[in-house]
Amino acid sequence: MHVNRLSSLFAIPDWSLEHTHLRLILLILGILLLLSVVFGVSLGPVSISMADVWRIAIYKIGLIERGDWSIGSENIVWLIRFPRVMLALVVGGGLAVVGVTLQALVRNPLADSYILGISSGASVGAVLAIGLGVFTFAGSLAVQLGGFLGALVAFAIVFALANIRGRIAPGKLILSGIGVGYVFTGITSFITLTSSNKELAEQILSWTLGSLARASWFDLTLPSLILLLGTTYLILQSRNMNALAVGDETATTLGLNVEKVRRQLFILTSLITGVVVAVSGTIGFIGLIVPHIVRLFVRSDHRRVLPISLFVGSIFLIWVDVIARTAFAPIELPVGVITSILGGPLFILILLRVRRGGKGNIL
Amino acid sequence: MKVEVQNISWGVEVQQIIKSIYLEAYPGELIGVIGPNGSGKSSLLRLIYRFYPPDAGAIYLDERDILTMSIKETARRMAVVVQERDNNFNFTVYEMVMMGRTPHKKLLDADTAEDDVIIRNSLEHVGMLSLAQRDFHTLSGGEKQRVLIARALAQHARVLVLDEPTNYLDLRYQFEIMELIRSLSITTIAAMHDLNLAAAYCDRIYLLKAGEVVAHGQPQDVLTAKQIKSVYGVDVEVEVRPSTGRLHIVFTKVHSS
Repeated sequence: MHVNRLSSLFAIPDWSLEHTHLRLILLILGILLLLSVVFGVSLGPVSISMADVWRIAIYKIGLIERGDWSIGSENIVWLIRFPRVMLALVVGGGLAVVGVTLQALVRNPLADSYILGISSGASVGAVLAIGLGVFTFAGSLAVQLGGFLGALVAFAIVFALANIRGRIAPGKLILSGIGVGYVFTGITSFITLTSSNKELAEQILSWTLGSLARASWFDLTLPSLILLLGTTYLILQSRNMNALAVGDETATTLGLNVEKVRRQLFILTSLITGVVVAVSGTIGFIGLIVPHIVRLFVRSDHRRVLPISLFVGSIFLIWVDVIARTAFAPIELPVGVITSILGGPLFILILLRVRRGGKGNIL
Repeated sequence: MKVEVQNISWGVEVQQIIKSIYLEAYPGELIGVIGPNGSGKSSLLRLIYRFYPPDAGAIYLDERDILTMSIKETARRMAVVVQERDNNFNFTVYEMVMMGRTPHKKLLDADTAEDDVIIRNSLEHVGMLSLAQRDFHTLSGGEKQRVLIARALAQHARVLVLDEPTNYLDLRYQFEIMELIRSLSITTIAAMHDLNLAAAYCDRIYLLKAGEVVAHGQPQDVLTAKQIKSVYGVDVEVEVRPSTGRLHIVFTKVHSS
């Protein structure tokens, strides 16, 4: 191979620097995430000083002796606010990563687990577990197992509907997602309204709106674990996702076993969506908003979009939840209400922009 | 690298689309696959680059059956420029070409300085280095095609498959792309629409009709008035231009039968 004379010139920037940039961006986002957790835990309707909040946290980890704070403060901080902020972190990151993956998988930036009806499917599974006691063999993980299976079923149906002889018709995909979403939301309502359990009905209402209010340390374990392992795997697949985003034929000729990769991503996104929905309900549009904003800054290379979206999703949902529980205090809004108010218009905006720009064919 | 397609057949449900096709491409040859719409050009190429599994027959790269290789191994030997040119994501030209390194990467591999050199060389080869940081979707058709060829070059394969590389391109770009492909001197199989371009650039031509090879050989032997009339249903005159020595096909009238 002959040595390229041009590339040795100053005039051409060193694009390999982008790796350094990515590390720097992730470092900054990591710090921002930490600060968001700090503020998120400190803010709430009951005012507790930031110093106390952190002394309680450090005491709970076992590093210092108990101080002179009240039991009430201790419980609020440790049993309510911390799990809640951590849940926002996990759910926000999870939904963002799922959004990125789905968009590559179906080659459409309008995809999101909420829009494609996958979240609604997960809801049905979770509600079946709570309301009718299905999946009791899974013990305390029944709800999350239900969520996963529901997500998988919904995704499979949407995918089958949009698949025309091996090619996914993007317009059909969105419409199938909306249709399947309606049916599953209907089933959730049906189970709720015909159930004799009044508490269940209330629980499920907050579900369909998407809420982080019932956060507990126990509920966090499985989603955290799955998000961690799942995201690691997805990041390893991000080079393949680039090829997949261009097209199935291109991906095949670049050496991908498209069916296999697709199947893996399919199961993994269902798994993450399922456990996330099981603990937080259907919080919409995070998977749409976050990757879209991230792409505006770093473009489409999934090796950047995926890890950055993970952090941005976490930070974003922590702050949306802070707004949800403080802006209209003492009334608390389900966080899904706010994400929908923000996300719906953005969905329309992307739709208009892409149509006007005429790049690709989304619908 | 030598490509050998042996009696390959493929169909959808009961309809046979490719009927027992035999095709050979010797090292360094530029092979044109021509035929009217629906004659099976793209399907044949898709069988060669393993997008479709054949119902019967086999494809060999240097005597090795490609179905015994992993898809990744095939991609290290064979690079393809397909017709997928539009997508909804904003990759840069550089990123698009970097995708050509995919078959050489293991799960944990990052892009290396060597990859960077390969990408720059590939882009320089097609005259696109100065546009490396542009968004791919903002390029013209001819520029996009050059970038996709650069990606194929970055793949460091020894066989190149092109599905209608000059489709939708302006006249000038058509010639530029063909000159570029000719200059690569690696084994190339290209489905082509324009008979004059095929005649001018291909070493040998396979003429397809309804999924079968009806003629193959050097351009002057395949592109005869009689053969074109029977396959395309149009009357043409074929002459050799004294100035260039090239075959020239002139359309005269539609054959009514």
